[in-house]
Amino acid sequence: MNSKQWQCVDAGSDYCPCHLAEENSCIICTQLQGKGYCDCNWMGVCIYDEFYFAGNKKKGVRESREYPVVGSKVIGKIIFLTIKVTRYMARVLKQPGSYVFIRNKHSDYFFDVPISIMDCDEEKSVIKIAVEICGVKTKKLTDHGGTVIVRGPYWNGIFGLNALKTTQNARCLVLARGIAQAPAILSIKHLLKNNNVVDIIVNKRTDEHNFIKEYLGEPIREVNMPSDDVAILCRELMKENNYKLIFIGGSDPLQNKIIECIQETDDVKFVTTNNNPICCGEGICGSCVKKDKSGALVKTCKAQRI
Amino acid sequence: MGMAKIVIIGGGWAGCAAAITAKKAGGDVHLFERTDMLLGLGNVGGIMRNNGRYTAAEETMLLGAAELFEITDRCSRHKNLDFPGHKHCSLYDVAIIEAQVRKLIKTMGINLYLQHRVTDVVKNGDKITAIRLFDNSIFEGDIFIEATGSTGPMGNCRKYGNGCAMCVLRCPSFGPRVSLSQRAGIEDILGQRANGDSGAFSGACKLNKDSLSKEIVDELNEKGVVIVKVPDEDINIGKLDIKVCQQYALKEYAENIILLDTGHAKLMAPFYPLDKLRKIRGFENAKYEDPYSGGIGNSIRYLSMAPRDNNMKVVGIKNLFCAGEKSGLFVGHTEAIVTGSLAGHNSVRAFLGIPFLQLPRLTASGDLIAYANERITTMEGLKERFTFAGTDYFKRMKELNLYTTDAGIIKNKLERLNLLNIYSERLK
Repeated sequence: MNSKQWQCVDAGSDYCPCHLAEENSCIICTQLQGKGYCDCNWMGVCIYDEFYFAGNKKKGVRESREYPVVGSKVIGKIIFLTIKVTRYMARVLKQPGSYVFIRNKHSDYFFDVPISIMDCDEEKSVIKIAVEICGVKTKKLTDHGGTVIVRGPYWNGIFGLNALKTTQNARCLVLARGIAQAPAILSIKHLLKNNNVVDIIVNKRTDEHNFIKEYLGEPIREVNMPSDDVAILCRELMKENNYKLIFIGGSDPLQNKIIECIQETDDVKFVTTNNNPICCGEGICGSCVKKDKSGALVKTCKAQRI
Repeated sequence: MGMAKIVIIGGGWAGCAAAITAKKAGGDVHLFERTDMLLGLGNVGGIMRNNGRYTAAEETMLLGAAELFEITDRCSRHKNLDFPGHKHCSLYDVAIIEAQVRKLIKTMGINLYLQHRVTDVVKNGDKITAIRLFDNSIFEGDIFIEATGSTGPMGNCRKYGNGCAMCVLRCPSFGPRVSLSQRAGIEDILGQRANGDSGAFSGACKLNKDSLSKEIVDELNEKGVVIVKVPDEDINIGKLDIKVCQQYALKEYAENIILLDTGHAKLMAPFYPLDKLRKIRGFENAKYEDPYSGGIGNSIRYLSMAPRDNNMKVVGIKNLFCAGEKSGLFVGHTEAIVTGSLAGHNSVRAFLGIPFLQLPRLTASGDLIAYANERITTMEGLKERFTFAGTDYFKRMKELNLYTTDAGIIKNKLERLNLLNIYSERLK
C-alpha cells in the first residue's frame, strides 16, 4: 500500500525513460518493472509509451562536458564557482533542488561530486555553486585551472519539491546551516516568487560564513543550531506565525530534531535537503538507497515522496 | 445503527447502478469519478435490449432498479431494430444520455465527486477503512464498491494494443485508472484473447456523421443501421479475434461495414484504417469521433478483474464489492447495470449484517453472474466473454429457457421467487 508514495523526479523529463526502464526497474511504471499490467499513479504522458516511441530504449543521457569557470573565490573552507554553461543547462537548473556533478578536468569520472545549484542566471547562461572543501573529490576542485567538467542536470537535491512549488500566499520558515544555505537560495527565491513571506534562520557561529545574506535582502536571524535552542525557537515561531511550509537545510539529525519538535500536520509541510550520499545520480549505483517506513528500498537520487 | 456510508469508485454504468440501489436500500452514498463525466465508455456505447439483454433489462426493472433503463429507453434514437445476429435492439443517443443520468444521480441525493481520482486504499486487517484521493486526502466509509472497470490506462493500451487511441476515458487528461482491489492486496485477473494475449480491443469506433455522405446519413437516421460491403481485398477476418465484443465477431462484421446510429455513426469494428475506409463510397471524407485515432487502434480492456463471489463481494476483503467489468469478463451497459445494481444493494446488507441477496440461477441475471464466475477460474474461460447479447451465453440463455421478451413471464417468475421490487425496499 505504500509503494505509490514515491515518484521519480525525472519522470516526464528529457531523461525519461532512463537506464532503469531499460533494466525493468523503473521507479513509476509497472510495465517497465516487468509486470504485465499498469498500476502507476503518474499523471504525465505514459512512460511505457515514451519508451515504445524511443524504440524500446532510454531517451536522453546526461553528458559530462567541460565548461569555463568565469568566477571563483574562496572564503574559509568554501569555494564559490560561477560556471558558464549552455542556455539549456541554465534554464533546466534554475528550479529548486537542482544539482550537477562536477570534477576537475584532470580527474577520473569517479571524482564526480554532486553539488547543489545555488543560483542560476538564464540570461547570462551561468550557474553558481558553493563547494565545501572536505574530502578527496572536493579538494581537487581548488585548482580547477579555469574549466571544470559538469554532468547534469539533476533535480532531486530537495525532498518535498511539490509542496515547495505549490505553496502560495503563505508564511514560510527557512532554516539553513552551513553549506545547506546553497540549495536554500533557489528555494527561497521560488517561495518569494509565489508571493510567500519567508522568515530565514541561519546558524550562529563566528567561523561560519553566512553567504545567504549576500543573495537576499530579507531579514535573517541567527541561532545556535547544534544546540536545542533551534527546536525551541522553531516551536515558538510556529505558534506565532502558523507557517505553512518549513524548509530545513542541514543534517538529518538537525532535520529530525526540528520535525519531531513541531510534528507534521496537514497544515505544515516540511521541505528538506537530500543529504544522502549520491554517486551516480541515475539510480544505478545504490549509494543513496534508503529504506522507507514500509521497508521498501528507495533510490533517493531520483525518488520524491508524494 | 447509523446510516451505511457507501463509497463507490467509478462512475460508469456499473457505478451509477450501484449508487442507485445502495441509495434506495437506505445508504448514504458517495460516488467518485476520475473524469468530468459519468458513464465512462457508456458515453460512446448505446446498444441496449438486443437479444438476451431485453430479458435482463426487464428483469432488473422488475427487481426494482428501473431508473437507468427508463433513461436509456427514453433517450433511444431507434427501437426494435434488427441487424446481423441481433434482434429488437434499442440505440440510445450518446450525445444526450450523460446529462440525463447525472441529473438523476443528483436528484436522488447521491453525493457525486467528479474529477476525483482515487489512488489507493487504507486498510485495517482485511477491511478497507478509507480511500486515498489524488490530492492525498483520505475519505472514510463503511462499505466500498469498486466499479473502476478494466480498460486502460495508457501503458496497457500500448503494451497490449496499438497505443493510446485517445478514447473517451482520456487517461492523459485525468490520470490513470488504479485497480483498488489490487492496491488492497488482491491480485487482478487478466482476460485473454483467442491467441492467448492479454486483454482485448474495445469492439467499436464512432465516425462523425457529418463526415459521411448524405445517402448514408439519411439511411442511418431513418433505419438506424447501414450495411456496406467491404472491398474483397480489405476483408480482415483475423480482426474478429481481437475484439472484446464476441457477440459482434461474426463473419458479416468482417465482410461488411456495419454502422449503427447512436448519435454518431457507430462502426462495428475495433478500428479501421482511415485510408481504406475512405476508399469506400460514401466514406470519402470519413473522420473518427471516438476514439480519435480509430484508424489505428482502440482501448484495451479486461486487464483488471477482481475475484468475487456471486453476491459481488471481492474475495479476501470483508467490505469491498465490485461491479461491471471489474467483476468479470462482461460486455455491455446492461451487464454493468445488472452487476452494479446487485453490488449496490448488497453493500447496504453488508453494513446491516443481514444475509446477502444472491440472485437465483432461475433469473437471467443470477445465471450470468454465477456462470461467468465459474468460467473465469478456467484457462478457456479467460478467453470467453459473457453477455446477454450473444456468444455462447445467449445460446445458454435460450437452452435454459431464460430468454424471453415477455415482461409478464418475467414478472410471474420474480413474484414466485419473492424478488419483485426487492431493490426498491429500504433495508433495516
